Amino acid sequence: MNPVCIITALPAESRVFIDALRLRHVQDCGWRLYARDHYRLLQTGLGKLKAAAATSTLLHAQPDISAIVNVGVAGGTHPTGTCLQAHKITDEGTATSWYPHLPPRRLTQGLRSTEVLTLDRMSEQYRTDAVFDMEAAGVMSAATVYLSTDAIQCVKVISDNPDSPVQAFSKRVAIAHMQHTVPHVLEMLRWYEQMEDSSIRQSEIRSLSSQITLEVRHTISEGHQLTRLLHRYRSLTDTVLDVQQLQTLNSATAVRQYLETQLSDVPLTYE
Amino acid sequence: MDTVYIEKEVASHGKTTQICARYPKARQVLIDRYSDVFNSRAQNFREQKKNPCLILANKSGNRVHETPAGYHIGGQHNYYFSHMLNCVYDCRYCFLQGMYQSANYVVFVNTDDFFQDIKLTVKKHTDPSWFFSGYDCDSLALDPITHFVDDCVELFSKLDNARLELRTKSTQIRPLLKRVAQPNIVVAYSLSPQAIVATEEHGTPSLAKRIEALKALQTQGWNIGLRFDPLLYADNFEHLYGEMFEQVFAALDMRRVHSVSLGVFRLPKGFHKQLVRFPMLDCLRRPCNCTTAWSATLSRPRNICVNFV
Repeated sequence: MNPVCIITALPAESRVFIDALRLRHVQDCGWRLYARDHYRLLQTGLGKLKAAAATSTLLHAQPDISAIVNVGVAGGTHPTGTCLQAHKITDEGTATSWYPHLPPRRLTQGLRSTEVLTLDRMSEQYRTDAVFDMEAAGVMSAATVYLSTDAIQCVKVISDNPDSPVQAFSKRVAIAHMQHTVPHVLEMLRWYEQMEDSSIRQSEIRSLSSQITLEVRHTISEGHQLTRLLHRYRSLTDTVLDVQQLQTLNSATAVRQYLETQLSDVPLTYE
Repeated sequence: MDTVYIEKEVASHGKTTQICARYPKARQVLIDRYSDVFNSRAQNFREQKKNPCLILANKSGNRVHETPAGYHIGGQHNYYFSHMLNCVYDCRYCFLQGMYQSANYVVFVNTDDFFQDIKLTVKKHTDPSWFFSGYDCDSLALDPITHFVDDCVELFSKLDNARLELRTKSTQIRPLLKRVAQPNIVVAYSLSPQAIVATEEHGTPSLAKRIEALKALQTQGWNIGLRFDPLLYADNFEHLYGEMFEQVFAALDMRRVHSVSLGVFRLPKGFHKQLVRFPMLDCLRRPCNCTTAWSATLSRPRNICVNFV
């Protein structure tokens, strides 16, 4: 199963998920990463720049991560503790917007959607049509390089509003609010786990391709052709590819011809 | 429909209100331009197809286009228009998967502007002009929501010098059956053998249902068209298509069929290259014959199949 990752900014935002998923800290250079089984949690630090840098580093280092959920506290006009999912994320600084492709409503019962406006510094100029955070746009900007918008979600919980301004914010309060997000986020993760089929096939093909290209020299373009042929082979036949035989061939052209011959022999019937 | 994106410009349009009323529980998201959502990068068509959203928008600019060369049924002046982008069905060979980044449905609510442009186009020619609906979408499939067909038939009933083809696989023909048949409108069905419908045309009505709809339309006096397009090749091609023709010919009065057209499966080469990445599109993974601009999946010479048909 491919890993799915929660991305938070602060320790107070991470704690509830570390406990709920029994995650362990991963000793690695310079980032706060927690993991168990196929779950990951990345704690990026405060602000969109740190969020973008950490997200990008993680997705580059672990390209098999199939989905991410950015979770954290936000300011708005809703009552504190209200959970919301982002239907639009806007970077206030650049006015760039992203639209996550939201999961079906049955998965997010009771979770209203809103625009998340990522600010460079905290603000108490609350708006009724958006909530404020400081990381979502950074996460989106980095993550959309690696993942499609259906695999990136953002869930925020209101921690401050006009009645309970940001000065009243404390770690204890944040943890209490974050607790509300746990069922929604876990439900999303479960949904992503069920969508694994295609990514399993992708990683299988990647592995086959690298086994062949390790032995038989392929240019970049030949590598792409090989990947396409392997995809076709995997779809049209249910047989296991004889990689060892392919590894004995002396050129990329010979590998391609072998696969093309195999493919043209596949019977083509509709029953 | 779980999410409805609404362009601010059409937020108070009557059609927007009417469509939104059908989805009272859907999330409603106001947007500036439909392209912000529909054309944004990093979208996955296949994943979105599992849970598509609806986008209600205003179509500005060109609304009526000349058809590509060869896209006609004998008329001299041929145009198409798309009141909707994307299709509710999931045909695994469909070119829309390669054309659009997004599987969300865009419905243009400013139908009056479309009709105005159609009227202006008709005035350009003394010969009849043909208009094809169903190029970027299925003409009837979402009609219970858009009510486009009603308005469209009403318009063409008053345009003597215009002809309309409604191309569909849908059996949503109630709005047509409620009306008197119009001599300048052809309801054309894309037909494939049932085995291909079941394997490749996900979510579409069965061949039998489509024939039933054709029969009902024909009985009521509507012009019907048969579109054997795309012809998909298979080792048992003759058997599959032979059986289908027998079913069609037995059910319909062939002397009263307005037109029949056929075309082998083909895709713009760029689209084909993009689509073979998707794991579930098996039909596109067959060995194919590529020319400069087009790809066609082939297992045998194209002429054999066309000649058989």
